[in-house]
Amino acid sequence: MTKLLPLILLLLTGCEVYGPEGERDGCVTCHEGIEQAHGPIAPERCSVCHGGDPTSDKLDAHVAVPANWATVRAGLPPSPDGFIKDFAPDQLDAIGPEYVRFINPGDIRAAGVACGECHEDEVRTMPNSVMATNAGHYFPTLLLAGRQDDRLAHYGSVAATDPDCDTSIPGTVCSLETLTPADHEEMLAAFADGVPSEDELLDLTYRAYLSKNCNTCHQAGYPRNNSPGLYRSSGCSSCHFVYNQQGTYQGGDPTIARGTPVHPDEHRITTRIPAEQCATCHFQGARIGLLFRGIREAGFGDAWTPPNPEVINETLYGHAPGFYFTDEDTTNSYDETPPDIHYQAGMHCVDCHVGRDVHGDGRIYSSSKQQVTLRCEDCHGTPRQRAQPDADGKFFTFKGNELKQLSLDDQGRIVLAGKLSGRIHVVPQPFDLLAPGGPATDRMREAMAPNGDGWSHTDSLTCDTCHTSHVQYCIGCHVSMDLRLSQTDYQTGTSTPGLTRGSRTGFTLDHLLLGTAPDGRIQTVHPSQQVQISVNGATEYGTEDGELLHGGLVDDGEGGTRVRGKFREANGFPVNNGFAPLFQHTSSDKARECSDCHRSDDSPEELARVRGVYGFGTGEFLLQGHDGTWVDGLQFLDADGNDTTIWHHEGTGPASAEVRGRALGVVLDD
Amino acid sequence: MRPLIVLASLPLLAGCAQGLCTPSDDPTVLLGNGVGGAFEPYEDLQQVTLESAPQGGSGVRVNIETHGLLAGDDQLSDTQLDIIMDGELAGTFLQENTRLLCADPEIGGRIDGTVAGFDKDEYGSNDALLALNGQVVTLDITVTDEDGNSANTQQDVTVVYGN
Repeated sequence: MTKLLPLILLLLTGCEVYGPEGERDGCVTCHEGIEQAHGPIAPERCSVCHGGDPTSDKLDAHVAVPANWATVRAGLPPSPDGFIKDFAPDQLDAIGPEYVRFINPGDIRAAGVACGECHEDEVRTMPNSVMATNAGHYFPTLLLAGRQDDRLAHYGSVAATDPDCDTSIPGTVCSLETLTPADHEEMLAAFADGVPSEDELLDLTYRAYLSKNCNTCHQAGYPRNNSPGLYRSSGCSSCHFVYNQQGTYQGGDPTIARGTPVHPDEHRITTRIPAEQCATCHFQGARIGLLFRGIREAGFGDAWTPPNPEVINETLYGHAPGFYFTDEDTTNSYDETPPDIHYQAGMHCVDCHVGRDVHGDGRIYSSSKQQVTLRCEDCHGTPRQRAQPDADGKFFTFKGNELKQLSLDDQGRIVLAGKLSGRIHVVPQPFDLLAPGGPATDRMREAMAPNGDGWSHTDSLTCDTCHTSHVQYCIGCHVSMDLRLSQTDYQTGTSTPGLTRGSRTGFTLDHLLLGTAPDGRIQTVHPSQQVQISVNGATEYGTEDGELLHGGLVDDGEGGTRVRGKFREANGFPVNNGFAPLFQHTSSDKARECSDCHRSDDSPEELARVRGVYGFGTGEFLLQGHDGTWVDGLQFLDADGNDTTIWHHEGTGPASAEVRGRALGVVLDD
Repeated sequence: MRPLIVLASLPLLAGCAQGLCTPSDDPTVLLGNGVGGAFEPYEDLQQVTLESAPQGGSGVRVNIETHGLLAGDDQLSDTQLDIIMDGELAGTFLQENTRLLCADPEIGGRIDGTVAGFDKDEYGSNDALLALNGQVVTLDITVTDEDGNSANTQQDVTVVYGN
């Protein structure tokens, strides 16, 4: 009986002999029931994407776990043999492309021989896109800190090169290099002659902070893949394989464990990518993956928590249950933080952002502001004309990216085909709404229709300036590095000196700030990377244990002291607090009130309130520096209208004096 | 080798993972560590990493394995996540309506990557988090399945800040 066991198992489990070369892969004889990842393109030909030897038995068909796997994995949590789905970019480089391809053919190290067989352009351009390089998260902080002088990216989460670069294209660079933290030896050398200069200390600190905190959200590597909401793949598969919140498989392959991560929901490549997939990364930074869905961050402590919120009581994005709210007050009849109107209509990120927006065009852009091509008018037109197709009926963004989701229906209406829902959405056109006899209200006509001078608010303001239902941004970010502790770096995957952490001072949901967008129009602005740094030393590096090397101690009001980070003094400003224009992705068909941007009366209080909108400060969110002095976290202009900080995106800044004067000069009628 | 054993082993060898983990009279909960489906049960005073989550909040991440609770693709659960230090609650969170998945009827139910948090008001500063380094805390975790069956564990672990 024992000798017959293999044969019995073979028959009963369906693992038959493998097919000859050129025939059906043997893989599916065990993986029977697995979804055909690419439908009719490569049916039952697993090896087309995954490599391996499909004509052999399992032992040889699977690409063997590389001999260096355990060494590369050292220091990471326990995992099954051969597990790489939490590897950082440098670890994936070290493990070799053949095995990476076997696990994930969509990884940028493998996609050329897998996805690239057919999707050559996308595979060529994607590794240089901002979603792969993460470049936009590095240079702003370094510029604001005086670590660089220009508004261009020099570092990314993955090295990148554009051999055909043309730096006359705004925001583009020819190459990026990776930013890695100092290892123990380098740190020892830096402290060999005592505490390094402030310049050198900050260099060590920023390298550690950016590399350890910004590196898990880009397509060149895996995320931590260890908690609900964070599960995804890398490379093309980051987006085109959909993972559910718990990262578990729900498909038909009996060999894939269903109850444990990290697996896609199904083994199926798709362009029908839900917003939840995008949010595996975009829950951070500007939080657009949350705001778009009507979710806001909480977790600021009891003093910041409303009495009756609607809470998401789940572990999400690495946070304990209760960190996210969907409604501020369940006792009233409205939602203070509603989802974006497009999401409410069943649309997802991919219904707007296609082509170059997501795959890039091969250029290395310093920021998504340069790579993304879309603006509202591309679909909705302007008060003066509908969105315009070309002679062939195709629609394009203002930068020339084709919008294949748009077309004209048989009634001549501009319609959008929802990628996930399949629904046909008629795209509202302000031109039609404002037409004589159209349904526009008087208020809408006053705001949007060209006036007697031919001027419309839409000439000077981006649409979202008024059509943003709410904002959420945090104010102040105390970044600390403590050399007594070490921390895993997500560029190298190894533990290096210095535990870095960022903590926010406060947040707001309703403080509108206005500034100048890259296209010169006025747009909603939010604080961005308002970093103040403190650094603690360690006896290991020759300082007192925990000695404060950067930053200061201030009175905590309770008879003791607390640490406060030092503001960034650079570019001629003693406090470089960051600000950036941002489309919040909380669009609403209901516009903001006129009084959000203009005075309701001519009282001094009202003038002060509206001046706060344009960056003169509100006095409500004060940040304390290392020397005990206070700075207004929402201020970017002094009382005379002079800048108090530089802005990190080219062409952005406060509203001009002329625009401010015009806006502040308006006193609304009752 | 008896035929019965052969037949019993087939689901495992075939990767039969679509089963339902059924309730029993004496359900239990285990806490452990691991990624990618791995589960290493915590030993007493096991070192666990204190993690600061992106955009704020700190806690320890645990994998939960249940035995004798109803678990499967469509089964939901509530989990009470308490951290006790020096006899006082250092954090208490309720996780609601989370899928309690069946890793395998032979293995049990699983909820991976759950975060037991520390109270934000008490443990919001760097100094407070640093003070947790090396502290022994009790993870007091209760899982309740969709039928109302509950299991509890109290696991002493040692908090490590940094790694």
